[in-house]
Amino acid sequence: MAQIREPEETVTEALKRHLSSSDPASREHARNIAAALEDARAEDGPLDPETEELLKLAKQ
Amino acid sequence: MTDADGKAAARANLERKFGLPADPPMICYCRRDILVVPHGPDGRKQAFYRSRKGPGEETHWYPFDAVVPVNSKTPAMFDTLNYRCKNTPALDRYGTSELQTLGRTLDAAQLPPASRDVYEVRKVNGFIDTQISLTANALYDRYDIMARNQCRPRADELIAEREERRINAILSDSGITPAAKLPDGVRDAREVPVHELSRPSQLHTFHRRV
Repeated sequence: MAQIREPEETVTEALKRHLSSSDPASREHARNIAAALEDARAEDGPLDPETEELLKLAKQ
Repeated sequence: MTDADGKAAARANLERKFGLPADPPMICYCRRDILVVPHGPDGRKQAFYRSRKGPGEETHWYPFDAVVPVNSKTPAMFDTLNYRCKNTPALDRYGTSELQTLGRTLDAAQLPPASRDVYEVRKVNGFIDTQISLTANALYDRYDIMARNQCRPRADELIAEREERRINAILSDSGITPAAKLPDGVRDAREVPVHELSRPSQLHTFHRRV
């Protein structure tokens, strides 16, 4: 199974890394991170503005 | 097969195939039950959490790796990243068909709710006790280092009281930064606000003047 987040990374650090990569696999990882964040938002409430901005980028 | 038969069969299956005792150790964190299957499909320990029930929704057990920080402003979320499959919706949230089968067997077992609440992320990750979960605790240590560097001695007091006061993470106002960027020296803490974030995703954030 692919390791989407390196153990020493926060979630947004992992998302930024994948968004800045041109590798198609990284784009998919970014979409998967976005899905997890959207679930977290749905269950626990709003995310911070920085994460919301990254989410928009991940979904483009 | 009756519901009771299905439940008993699922529990027997979990014990036989995955080494999960009939009355498995379980904790509750942020209104979600958590357990660790001793021998997951790949032979290693695998953590699961039981999703929260929304109106008209059933709960399900989903695999996850740890509780991790999103960033300094959203300090905790269940790390399900490795189990998301947007390109294969049938497996989304499970990652593999084996984990999906295990999750659904846990659903069928209808395990009773956890009797022990845990409020502090390190204890959750310690309960999971895998390399990934224990490494996630190092991420939270960054918060402590930052807060201690900027808000001593108040940060020390809050860290010591974390479990009793149900504090997840203690952040200095400037938030988390890489350790390399930590300021030199320790500033007078009296004017620095400290955020105590007691639940994931800033559901309950309050500020404290120290």
